[in-house]
Amino acid sequence: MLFSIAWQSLLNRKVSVALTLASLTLSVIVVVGVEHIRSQARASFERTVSGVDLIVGARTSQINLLLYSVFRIGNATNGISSESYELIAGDPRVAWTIPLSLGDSHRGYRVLGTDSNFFEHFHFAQQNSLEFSQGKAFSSAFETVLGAEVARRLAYQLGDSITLSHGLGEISFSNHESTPFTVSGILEPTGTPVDRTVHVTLAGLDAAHGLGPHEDTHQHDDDSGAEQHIDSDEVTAFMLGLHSRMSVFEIQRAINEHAGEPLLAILPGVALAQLWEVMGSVESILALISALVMLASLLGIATMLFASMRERQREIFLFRSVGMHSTSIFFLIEIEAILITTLGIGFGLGVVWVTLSAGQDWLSQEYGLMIDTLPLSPSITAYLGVILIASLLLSLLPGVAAYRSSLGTKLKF
Amino acid sequence: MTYAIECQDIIFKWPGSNSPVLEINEFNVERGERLFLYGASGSGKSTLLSLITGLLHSREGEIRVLDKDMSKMGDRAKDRFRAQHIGFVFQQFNLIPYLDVESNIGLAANLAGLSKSETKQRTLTLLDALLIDPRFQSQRADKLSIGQQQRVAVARALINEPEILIADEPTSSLDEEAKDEFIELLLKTQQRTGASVIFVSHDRSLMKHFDRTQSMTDINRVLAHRGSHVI
Repeated sequence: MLFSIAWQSLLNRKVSVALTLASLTLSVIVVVGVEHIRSQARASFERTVSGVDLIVGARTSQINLLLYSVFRIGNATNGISSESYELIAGDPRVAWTIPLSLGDSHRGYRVLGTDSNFFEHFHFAQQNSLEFSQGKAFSSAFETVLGAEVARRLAYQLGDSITLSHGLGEISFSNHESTPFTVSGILEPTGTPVDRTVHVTLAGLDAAHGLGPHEDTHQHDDDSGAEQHIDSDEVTAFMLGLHSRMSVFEIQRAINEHAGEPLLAILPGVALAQLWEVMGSVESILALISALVMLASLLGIATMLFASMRERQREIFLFRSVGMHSTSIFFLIEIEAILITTLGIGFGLGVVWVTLSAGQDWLSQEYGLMIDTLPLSPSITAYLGVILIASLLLSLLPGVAAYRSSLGTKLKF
Repeated sequence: MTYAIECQDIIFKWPGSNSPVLEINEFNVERGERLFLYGASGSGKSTLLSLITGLLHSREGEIRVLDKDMSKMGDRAKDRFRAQHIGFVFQQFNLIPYLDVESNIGLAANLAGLSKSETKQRTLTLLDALLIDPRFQSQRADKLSIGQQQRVAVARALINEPEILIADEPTSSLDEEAKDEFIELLLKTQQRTGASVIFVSHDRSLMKHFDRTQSMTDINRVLAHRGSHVI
């Protein structure tokens, strides 16, 4: 009965209730949206690389090495000599290596010089391997494999010919026009920086840099990759996988103490976690802002209910005269608050869900962000619970005011 | 016992005040009696009726309603008692404006513990007796005319067949010819259950409809003191 009275009472104050509800809905959108995008971004971030035991580069900070080797952000200050690379790659505990040579670009997209091990051993998300949507891995020096976004944005097809630019600008005056690369394969979207990368062979990259055009003359009979051999004098970094993960710290220490040149080996998982912590302050600020927005709306509900008390004196008196208890009047106000809050949460979730469902394809195509459309993670459910409780607590003010005003009632003539 | 209401030696002061606003030696209403109670505003009518109906609580004196000692009843018991045994009709704003006629009447019935089917049946009978089209049941209360609202209020007040009906200036918002008609309708409906009626008004032309007339100045001794003080 109280429930239906509360509902009718809210309907009776359509305009102020609708405004309060709109404000609450917006706050729910902010809170849920921020939290959902944060967790999805984190998940997306953590899926950028998997199955790689160590990433090795010239000595720098962990985060810098991770940024340029995995996220293609920033630059390496130094490379690794081919002697050091071959020494480490030849270690019997090392199963495979993926050389990474960076520094060139193609129309704003980073170019990665590597070898076929990349397509075989690089994994992302839960051990997903790279798949070709068209074509196959490069088989000769002047072939290239494009990330999904590169191919889509620049409308490249298999067999198209592209040239690389020296440096990283979108417009470069130093183009390697004498050494065009033919597109041999296009990768499936991964939601990682791979989508925005142009993959070429190390040999082709060397040739473009004028180190002499040379087809790979070495015999690659052993596809096990246990012994790597490259012709350029250095690589920017490399990833490696071990036969047994037990030896990872041993190898890491050995590389970090490598006598030939100063090197750094990092565990991708540890470095990713560290990098995410750098962004942690941004996260906290976003969380704080959404909490404050929510608090403002909840105060709005309490204010709306409080303001209505004056015009509802007569109503409260009537309820009392027909025998309603004062505590019921208190609960009536609380139920009104719960109804508004529940509706606001429902509308907010609905808007986020509809928006994400509509924008899902666009997000994955434009930003390579793969997101869940239903924003109901345990943390969001917990937030919504907190919102309900906070709304109940803040509505204690008008509720108690109603209770008190109903206590001292006398018949008004 | 033939009394519906018995008041003995009541002295009522507002909390934190030393001077009483109400001081009554004796005030009784018989069962089935129709009492016309008149007095100016500030004469203590509303305080007296609030005490009788359990909305206010007096520390001194004894108030017995239907043989129950009001001072010995808890808050919840008083609310329940009021729901079941006392009906109210006020001057105006008798109904919750945003609820329909059916819900307004149903609320009072629900609080008194009346079953849904019984409520439905009694509502139809009362609306018929009060000359209200049953189709108005689903109308919001604030969509009715004042006269219709006052008659619905009578139906609301009588739905639980209370032993006591308190009508507080119920005719003051009606025009002259409607007044007598309304009172006759009210008393005719009341007769079916034989409830005692306390009809409060300052319009003494309405006295003729009632068994007995009582002036607040005759029972509230505070007024006598105050009067002599002014002189």
